[in-house]
Amino acid sequence: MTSQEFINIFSEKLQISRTDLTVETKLDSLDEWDSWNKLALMTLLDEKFKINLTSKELGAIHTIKDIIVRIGDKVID
Amino acid sequence: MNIEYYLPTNSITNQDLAILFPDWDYNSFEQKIGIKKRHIAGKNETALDLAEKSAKLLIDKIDKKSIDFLILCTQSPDYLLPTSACILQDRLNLPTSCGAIDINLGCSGYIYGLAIAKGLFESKIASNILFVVAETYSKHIHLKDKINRAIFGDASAATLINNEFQIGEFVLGTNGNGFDELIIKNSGMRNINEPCLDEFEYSKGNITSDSHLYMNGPEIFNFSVTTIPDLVLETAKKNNIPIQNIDYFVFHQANEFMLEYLRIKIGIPTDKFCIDIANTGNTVSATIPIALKNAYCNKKIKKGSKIMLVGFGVGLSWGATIITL
Repeated sequence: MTSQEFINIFSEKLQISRTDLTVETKLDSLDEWDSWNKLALMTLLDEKFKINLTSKELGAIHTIKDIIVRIGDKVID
Repeated sequence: MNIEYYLPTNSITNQDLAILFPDWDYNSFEQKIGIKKRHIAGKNETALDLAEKSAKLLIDKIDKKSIDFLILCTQSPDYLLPTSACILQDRLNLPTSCGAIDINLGCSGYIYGLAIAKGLFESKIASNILFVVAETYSKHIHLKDKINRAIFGDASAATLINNEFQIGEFVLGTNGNGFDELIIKNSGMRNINEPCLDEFEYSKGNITSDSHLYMNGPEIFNFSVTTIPDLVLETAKKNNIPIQNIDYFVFHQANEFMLEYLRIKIGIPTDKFCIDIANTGNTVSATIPIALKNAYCNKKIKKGSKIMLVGFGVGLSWGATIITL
């Protein structure tokens, strides 16, 4: 999966209205980055990558790039 | 069915909360979380008062003298001492020969109460056990804590345990390492000398303090999705019942988002899986008996149904069993 493909599934899962997301987008700048969508990200990582994100790891995620780094080599360009 | 429940008369809808929190997208909340309203105890109405109401609905139909044990599960006692169950014994006019204890558990409390009641029954310590769960988390939640005010509701439920329905084998578990993921830090003796009273924001737009309920939502979610699927499989195995032969699954009604995720992860068909949270919210230890009673009244379960009950939450604590009606 490429970064852009990940951005697409991330955006779809969290129902994000903005269409200009990049790996550098600050998640706190998104209206949709609320408590429930943080859980939606956890379900996405579990379903697609078998990753159970801890709340500590979630707290260290500030951009989409941070998520991609956590996923590891399953997302490459 | 030997279960009755009571909901406080006051209720708060999502529209009511949206007036208090104008930035809140309650349509999205309702769609994802499945809660439309929650009942909230009155200012002077405690969990003990709710317990009395549900218990009276149940025992008014039977000979009170036959009740020989009372278990009350609550985390909102009237006093640290005496035990609320002792006060409840008197209010219900139960015989003084009746044993009475409180158990302090949250969302796993119904399962643990059943386990204790089964032990009392099978060891012949008691033969007719009144088990009441009663909770008023609304009194623990900070007024500015939007998310927990939206999730939790108050309620009580009473169950009579004798030989009316069969309680199967239990799988129970605890991980106290997560004790501070769902906690009221200033609620006991630990911080009595130096309580921190400051408000703090724990998630976008949600305020609490150490004297109020704090829940680390992502950590509780992570705990649930990693623990519960195995718990379900182990419970089926321990009861020697293939999972496809279980007629109905009643999980603790935490929120629809989590329940639906667990249902898909475990592979339970929608028609066998209880979602009953819209009109009550998460009522902690009361969600399972309320859902059981409603499922029975709505004919989703009947005499002979094999039902898996699964509780999980604060502690961290979890447990499951299979009952046969």
